[in-house]
Amino acid sequence: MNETTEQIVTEQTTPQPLLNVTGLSKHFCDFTALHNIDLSLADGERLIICGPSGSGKSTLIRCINQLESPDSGQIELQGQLVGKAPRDLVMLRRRVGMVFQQFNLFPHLSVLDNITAAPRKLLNLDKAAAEHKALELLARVQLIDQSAKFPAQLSGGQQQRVAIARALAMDPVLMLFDEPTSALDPEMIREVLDVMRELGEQGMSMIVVTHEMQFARQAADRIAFMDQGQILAIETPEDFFDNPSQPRLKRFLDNILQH
Amino acid sequence: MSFDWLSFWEFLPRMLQAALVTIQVSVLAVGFSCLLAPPLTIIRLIAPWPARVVVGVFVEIVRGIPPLVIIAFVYFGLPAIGLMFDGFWTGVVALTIVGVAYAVEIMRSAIESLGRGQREAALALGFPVWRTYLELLFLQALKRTLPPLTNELANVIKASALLSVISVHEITQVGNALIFETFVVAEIMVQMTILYLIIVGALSTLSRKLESRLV
Repeated sequence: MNETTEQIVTEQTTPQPLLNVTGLSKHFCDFTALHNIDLSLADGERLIICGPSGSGKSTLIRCINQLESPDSGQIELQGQLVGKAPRDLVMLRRRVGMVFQQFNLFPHLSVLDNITAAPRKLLNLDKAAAEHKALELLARVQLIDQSAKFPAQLSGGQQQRVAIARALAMDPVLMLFDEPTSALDPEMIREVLDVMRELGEQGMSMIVVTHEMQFARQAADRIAFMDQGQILAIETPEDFFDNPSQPRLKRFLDNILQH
Repeated sequence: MSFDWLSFWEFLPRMLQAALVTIQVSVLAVGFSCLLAPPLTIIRLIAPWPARVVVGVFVEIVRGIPPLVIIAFVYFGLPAIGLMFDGFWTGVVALTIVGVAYAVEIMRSAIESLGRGQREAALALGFPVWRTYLELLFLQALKRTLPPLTNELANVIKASALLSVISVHEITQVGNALIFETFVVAEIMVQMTILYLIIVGALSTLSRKLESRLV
């Protein structure tokens, strides 16, 4: 009796993280892109990763969904260890959505087909159901009237919002954003960030690599700072900006916040 | 010397018969090339490395040697390992080898020209690698491959003229033989030219129709 109560108590105090990364390392030839990274993400948490270019930010999130295969380390998603077999990778990626810097829409498919392709082909959703869901998602990213267009007919900001809808169509438990606004005209950055902010407010767990510091301050639960393949600091936005612990982070902030 | 219509009509039936042989060899070789190239391209791109290397080496070797050598290899070389073909089937096999090698290279470069972005997007959505290639990249690349592929298959048809050296009764062999028998040169040359133009032209027309359909 006592034991079970204890067990319940410990389970409540340490809820299982959505994502748990331990000892992740990745080398490209002689270059150490990631050095022994530990990271965990709670369900519904919004983590923003920033740092200088070449610090390993993109490599880290690309390793999380195994677009790069790490040299060592473990990744657990919802308590399940992700294996190396092709089937494991496919199942992992179906639960983790990804949005890329260059949008990477399928140019030969309409907006609607871009969104429905994966649910229809991979989850065997029928056409009507997939399209119904796609239109809902398009409404969410404010593009309901663009469903028949092709990617080349859309602006960068619109394409990126379609890419977000496409990833959401698989009902991911975690969304990864790899510098989603870096390839956009300044005017279009906002519309994409607004969609992302809303997504986070609705409880989506997400990891965002970005240089948008204003967005980081407003939308993050925690901000991680990476340099030379390591996470030097993970802090709440307040501590991160106003009370940075690391000298390297201080220098980084001084450099980017000055102008 | 004037153009002799009498000899022109006299030799036309034999030349048409020869054209039929050229057409048969070409249709079979082009057909087999088109059937074999897609799966070999997929193997070349994503199969486990031994298979990938085998296809890669095959493509490089065939592209590196003249079609005439391949014809000689099939006709004189393969019997040594028990594979014996008559002239006609030597032509089909040799030209298929040539056609397939170039077609694989054309399809591979077309798929790779699509860039890694789309491939990564499909993988990130949870498409297995082979379905990414088959269902998303390959069809898209197909349209880009048609013009260069048609060019190359036209070359394969024209290479069928080389089968004259192993006495396949195709256009070039029959034409040459007639010229040496009869010393009627211009009329037969004109027939040979027209027949090749019609056959290669038919391929180009077919490809253009296909291309406009794929839009």
